[in-house]
Amino acid sequence: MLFNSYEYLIFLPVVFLLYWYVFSKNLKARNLFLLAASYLFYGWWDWRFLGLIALSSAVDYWCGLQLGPVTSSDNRVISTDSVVISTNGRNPKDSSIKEKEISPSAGSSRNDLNAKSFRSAAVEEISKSKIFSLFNGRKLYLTISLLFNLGLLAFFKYFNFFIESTTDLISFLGFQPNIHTLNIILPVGISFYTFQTLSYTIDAYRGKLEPTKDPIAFFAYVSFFPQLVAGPIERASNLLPQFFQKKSFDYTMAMDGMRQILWGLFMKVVIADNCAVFVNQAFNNPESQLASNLLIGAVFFSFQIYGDFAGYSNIAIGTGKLFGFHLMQNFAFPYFSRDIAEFWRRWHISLSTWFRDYLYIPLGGSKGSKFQSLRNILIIFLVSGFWHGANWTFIAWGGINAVLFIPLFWFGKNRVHLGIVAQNRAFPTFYELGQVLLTFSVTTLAWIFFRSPDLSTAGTYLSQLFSASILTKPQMDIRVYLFICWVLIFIILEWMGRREEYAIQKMAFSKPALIRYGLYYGLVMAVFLFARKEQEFIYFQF
Amino acid sequence: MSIFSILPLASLYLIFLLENGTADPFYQRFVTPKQKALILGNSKAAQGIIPSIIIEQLADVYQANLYNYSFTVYNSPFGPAYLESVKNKLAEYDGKRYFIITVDPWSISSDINDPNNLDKFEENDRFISDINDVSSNPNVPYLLKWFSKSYYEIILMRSKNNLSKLNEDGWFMTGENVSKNVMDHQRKLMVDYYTDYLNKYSLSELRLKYLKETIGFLKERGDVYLVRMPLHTDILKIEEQVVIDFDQKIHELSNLFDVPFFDYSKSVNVFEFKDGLHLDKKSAENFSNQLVERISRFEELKN
Repeated sequence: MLFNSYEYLIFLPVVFLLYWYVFSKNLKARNLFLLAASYLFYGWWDWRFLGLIALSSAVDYWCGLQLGPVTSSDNRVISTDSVVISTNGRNPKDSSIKEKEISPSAGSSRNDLNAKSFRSAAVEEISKSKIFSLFNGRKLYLTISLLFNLGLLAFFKYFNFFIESTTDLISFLGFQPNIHTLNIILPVGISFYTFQTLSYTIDAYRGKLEPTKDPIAFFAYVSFFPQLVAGPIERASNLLPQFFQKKSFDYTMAMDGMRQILWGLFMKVVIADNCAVFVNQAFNNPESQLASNLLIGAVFFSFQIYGDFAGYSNIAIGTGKLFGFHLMQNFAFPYFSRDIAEFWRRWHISLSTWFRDYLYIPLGGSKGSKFQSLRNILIIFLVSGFWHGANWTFIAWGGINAVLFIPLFWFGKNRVHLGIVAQNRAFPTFYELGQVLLTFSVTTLAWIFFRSPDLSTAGTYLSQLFSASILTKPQMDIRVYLFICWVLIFIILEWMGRREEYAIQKMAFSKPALIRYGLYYGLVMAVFLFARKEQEFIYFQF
Repeated sequence: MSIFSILPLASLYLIFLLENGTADPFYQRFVTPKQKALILGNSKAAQGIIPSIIIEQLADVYQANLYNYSFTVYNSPFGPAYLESVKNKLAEYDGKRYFIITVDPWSISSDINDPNNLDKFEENDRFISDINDVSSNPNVPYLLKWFSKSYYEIILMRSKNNLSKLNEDGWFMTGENVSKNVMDHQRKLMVDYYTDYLNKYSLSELRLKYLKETIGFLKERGDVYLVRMPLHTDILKIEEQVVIDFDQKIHELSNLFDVPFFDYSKSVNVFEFKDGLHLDKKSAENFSNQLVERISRFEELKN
């Protein structure tokens, strides 16, 4: 079911009313109802994939149970000096060795030799336990969860890509391979819910959260319909506890949610879907287009992808608020960023922080040598690109962003702009404006790879873009001028509301009600009038 | 708050009423009142027969206003959906009235594996099957589900001097006459397009049965004229391969129901086509005049 569909227009109020008036008193019934509504929402696309999400939930629920409850021994550090050795397990019976006190003073002799030999014995024992514990104890359940979830992704999303790439490579080497691809349908939202469940088992393994024994709450958490198919990718530590909280209807929160939904719909329906028309023309046939047309196409795509994805996130977060749930902010006005590092702190925050916490930091983050850090940065950007789709264009997009980011990191400038631009001023300085425009420009160039069906098209697009016809007046329909106006209005509204969670959160609050409702009326009418036939969200394919 | 809820809907309602046939090529056919006399067929008839010309010249014979209720080969091939829609559009009328049914091989063919499998007919998933109320203004079900553009285009296209328009009589006017080069280019595209179709389409006995049923239904209510629209010889050559004995089948129906069949498919070099298939505006006028003359002559001979 799409957020911008008539089905959802009926689904949401019905679920909302039943949730608050029928099921809100009993926690279990409420969660069960949310689970049923979420499965209906997801099954509307293709009921066959409900089994997949149920299986993924079941595996991670089971793994969570096996990982056991958080105890005071979690996160203990292995140290031969502090004499506490942990098998990294909460449940000693799962471990290859029992937790025990090893102290140099525990031996019969106090001389150095004895102490040294004692230490080496301890280190040897730790090494053995580390290797053994990969497939035993708590690590086993983490490994099962990782293998299962990444296996799902590998099969449904990347299988054909690897087969095709291998075939291309073998052909390139002069052989004629006879390898067939499979006709695999990508289940909607698989990249999102697998990452969400992975965060649960990893956090449970790390002892950062208490695995739940309530299967209904857990299944409802994995499939929570507002953010099921395109995020935000919620951490269990934030979202899961909310399924155990009693909730009472909060009018202010619900109105805030309604405003956020309206803004999300405006971003999706008015900005993204209408930009898409011109973007498709530009990208379908770049070789026969004027450079000036391609420039508009590329800029429009920047707004399409932002409007589409941030629009979805706003609708998701707003819908969550209607049901009393707080979801994390996923976009924080990324196109007002002054450098690429700031852009990545503001763009798809739930994914960026996921990769930071579960990939970048485990790899060593920025703790090792400069070159190790660069390697880690490169890995995280390439993997992030690959997460978006099984295509070399996404990997190239990730690589370009890494190349743009690395100089900032190298010179220690990647954390210069932590607040929003012109925080206490109405307008940016000329310097800031230049920084914002430059960041937007390089981001837009990188998006060309993201949008192109293949690297060759991206190359054609770029070479045509930097041709002499950039100075020629673009050939545009009257509608394009209309959409340029909409994009300008959108930028102005975003700028005005850049200090809030979303642009219109507190807009015109200090003005008379007529002006505020006039703004809402204008947005509602724009959504109705400029809606195209139900257009899918771009990120559904990821 | 309640005013705020109503205001956008009221505004939208007013905007819907502004649609005058410039934003959507079919919508007006579902908002005009029920009609007494109809032209049926696909896009060739929708663009090629101008009811107002025929009404004017047949005013002595028929008082019932003629309305062009033709759509496209995807939406209005002969079948249960189109017949039902025709029944819904037809007004009760006791006076003398007439129906022009245009026929071609595509309208009694299908591109599905089993061309007689009713459940798989292409139009089952199209507006012709979905819209039961065909005379409400505004037609909300159509607007919500089938309107081909964004609603702002109602205002935009109305303000533009649009060359394509669905007229009040159901005739779809498409632009001014174009240059010969453009026509030739479009015709070549159509030839490629229809050649590709040739491999997919085959005669559907079930559609033929529904054509028969449609003729029978309308014959009970008025005079029926079977017409095959003119088309370029390049396209005709393709059509002749879709249903090889098409002419014979239509002549059989003509004899069965005792209705005339006017075949213009061989009228070579008489009309100009935008794409080899659809008459241009001037030729549509010309053809409508020729057709009305022929109907008049037929009626004179009959009397």
